[in-house]
Amino acid sequence: MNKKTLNTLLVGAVAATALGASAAQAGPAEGNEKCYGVVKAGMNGCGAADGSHGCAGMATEDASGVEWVSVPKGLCEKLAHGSTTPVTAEDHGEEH
Amino acid sequence: MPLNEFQKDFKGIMLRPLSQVDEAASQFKDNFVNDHIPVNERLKIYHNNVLGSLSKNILTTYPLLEALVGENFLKTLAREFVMENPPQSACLHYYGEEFDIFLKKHASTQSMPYLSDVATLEWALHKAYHAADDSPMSTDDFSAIEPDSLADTTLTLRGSLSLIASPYPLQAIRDMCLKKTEDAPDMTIDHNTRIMVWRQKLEVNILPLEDDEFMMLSEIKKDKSLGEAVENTLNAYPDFDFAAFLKKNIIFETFSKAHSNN
Repeated sequence: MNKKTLNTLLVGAVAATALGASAAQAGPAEGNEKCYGVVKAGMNGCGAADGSHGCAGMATEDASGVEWVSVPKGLCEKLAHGSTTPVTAEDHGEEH
Repeated sequence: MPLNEFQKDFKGIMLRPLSQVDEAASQFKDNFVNDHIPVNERLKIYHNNVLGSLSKNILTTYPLLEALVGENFLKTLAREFVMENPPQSACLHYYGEEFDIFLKKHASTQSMPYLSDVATLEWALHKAYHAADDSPMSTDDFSAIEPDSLADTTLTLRGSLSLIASPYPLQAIRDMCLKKTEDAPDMTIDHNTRIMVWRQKLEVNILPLEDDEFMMLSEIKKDKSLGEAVENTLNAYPDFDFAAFLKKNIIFETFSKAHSNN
């Protein structure tokens, strides 16, 4: 393939992409949210809200109020103890 | 004894089989308290903690392998792996990458040749979860490239992205391990698995690829220019549709940046 043909092919592809892009990018902007208080120990997303650690998978207790996991938007509020904001110990009311 | 020598010897004891700890402990008599708890017993506590925590790290990184071969077998393999491949970094998120190579060579896994490829998939998933956030290239980013320099442009794939080729049905194996299906896949035929694993926002995805897409992405990963990558892919797969490829990969947010080589 000569250079001109190749270039035409590449430029054409980029132009075609620009035409079709608006539809593809119009989907829901954010599909997920952080859900606190429901994640199993060791299965948390990166970083505790209270700064006790900065790494995924480092939660040491189940359902800690400062540990989160990513869930589809809207699911968190349907879960027992689920909260889209961090829950501190005082907010819990009772000890588990 | 200088500190660095002491540390080196200590590390040597930590990474040997338990049966050899007693013998090696004698050289530490002067450096460790050796009272009602003898020095070899003290060292065994360290030995157990080091191998235990590092092998547990391997087990949590490879849950599919655990589902396939069971906790005890995997733990034994992980301990051996730790002794042969101690961590090179203090961050344990980076630890365990070579486990697939270890499994491929290990005598006890030769009857399960797919294990190594499952480990490769699990590492790719693990890597994708922990990869740094990089922003994807949009249509506008591509339109902004000078048309004349497109052929000489190289693209960088997202930091979370891995390409995996395997004869085994990795996704079916994964589904079985996650108990999404009861059916055991047929391991006797070549499934020609070509997949990419990467993260979009907080979601890690696995996407099956056609052979030509897989080759094109592999060429890009090898830092081939767009022109060269397209040409090589077209030579191997004359029906390769670059326009469709580009559109799909912009939607799936596969590229992170373009580098013009002019």
